[in-house]
Parts: sequence; structure tokens; C-alpha cells
Amino acid sequence: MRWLAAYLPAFVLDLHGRAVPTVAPLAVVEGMAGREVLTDCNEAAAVRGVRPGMSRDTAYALAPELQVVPRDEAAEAAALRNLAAWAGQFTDVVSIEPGQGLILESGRSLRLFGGGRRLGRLVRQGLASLGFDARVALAPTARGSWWLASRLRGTCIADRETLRRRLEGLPLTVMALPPRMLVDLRALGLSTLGDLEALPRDGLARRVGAGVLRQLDEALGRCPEARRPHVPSPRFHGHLDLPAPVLDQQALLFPLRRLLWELAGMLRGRSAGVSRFRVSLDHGDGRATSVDVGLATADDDGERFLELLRHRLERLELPAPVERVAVDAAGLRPMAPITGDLFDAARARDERREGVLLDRLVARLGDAAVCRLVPVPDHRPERAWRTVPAAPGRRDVSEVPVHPPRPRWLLTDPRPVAPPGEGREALRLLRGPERIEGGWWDGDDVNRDYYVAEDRDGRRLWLFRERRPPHGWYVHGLFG
Amino acid sequence: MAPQAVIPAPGGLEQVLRHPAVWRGRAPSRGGGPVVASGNEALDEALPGGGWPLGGLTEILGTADGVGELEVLMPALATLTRAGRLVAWIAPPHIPYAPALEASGLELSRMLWLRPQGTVDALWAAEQVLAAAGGGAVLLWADEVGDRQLRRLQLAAERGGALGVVFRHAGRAVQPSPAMLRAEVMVRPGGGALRIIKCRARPPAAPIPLCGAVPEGPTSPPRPRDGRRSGY
Repeated sequence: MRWLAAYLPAFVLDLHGRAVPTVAPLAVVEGMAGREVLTDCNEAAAVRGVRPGMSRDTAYALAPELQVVPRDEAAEAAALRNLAAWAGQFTDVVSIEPGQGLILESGRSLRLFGGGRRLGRLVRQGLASLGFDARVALAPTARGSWWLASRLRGTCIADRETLRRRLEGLPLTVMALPPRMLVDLRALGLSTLGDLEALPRDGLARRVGAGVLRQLDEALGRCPEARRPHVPSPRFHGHLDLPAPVLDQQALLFPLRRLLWELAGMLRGRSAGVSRFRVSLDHGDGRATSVDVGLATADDDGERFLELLRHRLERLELPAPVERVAVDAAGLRPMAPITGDLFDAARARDERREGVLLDRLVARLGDAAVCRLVPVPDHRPERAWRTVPAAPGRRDVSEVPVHPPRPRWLLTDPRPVAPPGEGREALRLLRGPERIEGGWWDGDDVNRDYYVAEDRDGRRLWLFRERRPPHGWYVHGLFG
Repeated sequence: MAPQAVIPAPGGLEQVLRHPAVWRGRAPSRGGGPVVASGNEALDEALPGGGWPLGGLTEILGTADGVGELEVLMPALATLTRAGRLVAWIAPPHIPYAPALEASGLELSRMLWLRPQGTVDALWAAEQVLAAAGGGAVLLWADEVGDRQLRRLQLAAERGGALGVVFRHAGRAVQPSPAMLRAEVMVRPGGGALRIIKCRARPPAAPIPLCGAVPEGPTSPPRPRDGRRSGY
């Protein structure tokens, strides 16, 4: 069993239904405007009597609340490409069966994921979390696995002999055949692959063409099959149309979660992470609200993406209801698997944990409220420090000359006080003066004498006296 | 027979004895958890385990800001940041002054300054950092915190093995508190003292004097330059 097929029996319906957690009657239509015909409908529509083949108006008569979506092959292909990129986390080689599903080369993944059945379950559950119902089959050939998945659930076959027996029971409809040929074959009294296999090959090839035989040979493993692997894009774009406009941020999290999960799978498939992604909330009137989410460290964790986004959304005022949500990410960074020596691994883990913490703090408190301090080589006390954005890990600190005593608390605005010895505070000078002057070059000059003083209670203060009239005294810091 | 070589402990006997794993018969029982030395021998002696508790909440009370509340913690914070641990200052009443903190041995790249809007966000941030910072420290200035909130902080500090410090007004001393350790910084002319109000596993000791040295300055006797008579 080297191939895993994931057949999506209701791909188009799922594609349109997965933006909301509830299941409402939904149908897909094709055809010219005004004469659309239903090609598919979901269970909720079927219980109201809606059937494929009906005209749109008939369906509306049966189920007035029916949501009708037109086929959009470009959107369907794009969605399937995103799923293929997502599936890259399970294997190196993913190919697309247009409009229907994916085939994964799973030879090397079996051991990594704990066997075929477990891998199959992971793929199926993963697709379910993205909103797609899938039938999964593992088999020794790609085409064989695909045919099995298109008819049965959870098949896992390891050897060719079993594969042959199982395939022989499948109807001819699993093959990709023109409808006319299917009719011809039925006319010959053939209904299963086994019937086809039992006929003499020469006569069959003359009657139906070599292509049919070739499909059969590929499925049975008698001849190799060339499959074109999907090459994922280095950017991510995913969007979901909401069935009804949404004004509540909480309700947006459901479809966004699905898109972020797709993004996370795609990143894991490429052993990459992103440190920034953009969420666009389209209001349907040409306006869109963009939310840029930044991370302190590149990551591939969908849960973390969602948590950061949730904090951003909570503080967001939506100007209008949202009709479509989209997620975009570019600038993939390699996320090396943690190998090498133990020390590096531990440090990388610590930095990642710290990055998660910082992101969470920034998301709730805002960028300006989370910072680090650095000293600045400037003689003016109020200019001898500045804030920098917080980032995980240790930073090299530039050498800054050690100053004479400096208080650990600096008052934002110097507080005027009575001269030492006078007034209620009865300040007593302990040290000083230290003359600090400068700043004429940028127009913010200071010219002061600084002192260490003690107040009546014994608190140590940092005072200065203006050297310019009116020679006021100020408290500028507390030694704390 | 050759005399057995005695290997001196790298930090001397005192350091060995201060190690939390070392139990001395006469000394009162040492607290269970890990600690970070306070840098003040008398204080270490008075604190269970021989230092500020990691994995618990400490309450430091004072009548005002700048009474020595940073002084008592500075050596421990320097130790933690130099070991790569994160120290978060949450809602401090003034600007933590970078040149002075660096001069006290704090590694600024491991220090975080958080300015949340309001007590709810401040408490939330404190809890996040305590639980996730991997044995670092949180200094939180929040006078108006209830019993339940302090309990949450205590739990978060336990979870993260972190030193949690809440600074509150001395008037709160009479209220009961779930903090593991409570102490009041008392400011006095000529040098303050730290009075331990509550600590686990031992009776509170007498107030511990804090280093009252005047910070070194560039010029020593103060000499106002304008001839004004000064009152000191």
C-alpha cells in the first residue's frame, strides 16, 4: 500500500457549506442564467424533496430557504490546490484528481505516521476539520486506491492479489470513461471490472480501445502510471464566502479557523513557518477590513494563529457585515526540525515559548504596551533611555558608560519641590552636585545640578536645581 | 597514609550551606521549593529556603514608591536575568530607569516593561508571564487586587516556577492574603528595614536592616554653588 486516495464525494457542496457550522439546505446549479439546473444538493435539501436535475425554480418552491450556488470551476480548482498543499504535511508527492480529490504517495509516510490505517484516519479527520467529507483508501497502486475510495470507505489493502479481488467487484462506473462507451460496455453485458478483466484482451482492445485496458492495467499494477505531482505555491491564499453576512466577530472565527488550518498544513508540508499573515474581511460593497497579524517568531501552528487573530478581532469595530473572509500569507521561513546539540534545541524551544508569550501579550495589550528598555548614551537623564519592541531571546547590549548614581525610578515629569531644608518635605542633600548640561544641538538643552537627597521619612530622591533663573528645584527620580 | 584531599567548594562553605538541599540541624526547617538568593545575607537567613521563593507569590508593602522596594529585589533580578530568565515589570508607577537598572546588574534584554490599561489587563498579563516565562519573575504594581486574584497569581507562579511579586500599599498589611511571603519595606532616615509579615514554615523574624549606604557620587561633600544656605 503505497498510495492513499482521498475522494471527496461532496466536494462542491462542502466547499460552499464549510464557512458555517450549521447545515442548511444547499444546492449547486449549472446552466444559463434563468434556466439553471441543480447538479447536486445536500442532505438538508434532499429531505425537503429537492433532487439533482430539478430546475432552480422547482427547488425553490420545495425549499424556499434553499441556498443556491453556481458551479465555479476556477474556485473549485483553487480550493483543491490548497487542499493538496495542506496534504503536503503527510507526504512529498500529492497529485490532484480534478474536482474530486487527492492521491498521496504514502510509501515513506507509513512508518512516520504509524501505519496505513492511522495515516488514513489522520488524513480523513484532517479534511473533516477543514470542512470536507472524505473517503480514504490505501492500495498498492494509485489508480486502484482512487477507484476503491470512490466507492468504499476506509479500505486498506497491502498486496496486489487482494487489490485484484477487491477491484473485480467494483462497477465499471469507477473508470474515467466517456458516457457512450459505458453504454456500449453495458450493452455487452458487462457491469463490473471483473467482467471486463475476464474478457480476452485482444478483442476487448479492438472493441473499446487501448485506453480502457491501460486504465485497468494501471489499477492492477501491471503497468506503471505517470502522475503529475502538485507543486505547491510559496504563497498562501484562501477565502470563504459566507452564506449570510456576518457582523459578529465570534462568528467569523469559524471560517477563519478552517483557512488558518489549511495554512498551517501547507506550512508543515514545506517545513516552513510564517511570522505574519493578513486576514481580509470583505464587506461585499467594495470595502474590506484588513487585519495584519504579526508573530514574534515564525510558526506553523494553526491554533496559535487563531488565538492571536481572536485577540485582534475582539478589539475591532466592524464597519459593515462581512460577506467573505480571506487569509493571505507569504514570506515563508524555513522551520528547521530541532536537531543538533541539546543546548541549541533547548534554546530554540525557550525562544519559541517566549515568542508565543510575547505575541499573546501584544495581541491583547497592544504594540505600545509591550516593550523593552535600552540605555542611550546621552547625558540628559530623560534621554538616556528608550523603549524598543519586545522580541524573544537575548540581545547584545551596546556598552554604555556607567554613570554616577542614577535612580531606578525616573519621574515622567520632574516634580517641583521646595529648596532643601525648606518646606514640608525637609529635604537633606547627601551628595552632589553633578552638573549635567547639554542638548543645545537639538534645541532641548538642559543645564542642571543634580543631587542625591533624603526626605524626612528617609526616602532617597534625585533632585536637580535649574542653573537658569528662576533656579527651581525638582525631584527627577526615586532611588527605590 | 596520605591525608585525604579536601576539595574546597567553589563558593565557600556559606554558599554550600545556603543551598536549599542542605539541611542543618539547628536551622529552622527550610522551605521546600527553589529560591533565588536575595543578595542580603541577613535576609536570606530569614527567608525560608534562603531566598525569594520561585514558584510562589510575594507581596511587598510600602507606604510610598521609592522606599527601597527595588533595592531589596535588585540582586535577585540581576541573577535571574543573567541566567536568561525573563523579568516583567507590569504597570510600574514610574519609568524604570534603564541606566540605573543596568548599573545594578540587570540584563535589560531580558526585561519586559508592560503598560496595560487597567487592573484587569495587568492581572491577566501577570498571570500569562508567570505561567509561561519559565522560572522568571513578574513585578506587578496593583494595589487594588482581591483575594481571588492573588490566589490566581499564586497558582500561576507555582505553575511557572516563577517569582511573583506584587507591590501594594502598607495599609494592606492588615488584610489577609494568600501570598506565600509578605514583607513590608520600612523607610527610615539613614537606612530602611524589611519586616517579614508572613512566611511559610517559620515565625517572622525581627526587621532586617537594608543597606543604607549613600550611592557613590562623583563629588562627595555637597556644595551648593550659589552660596544659598542649605538646610542639611
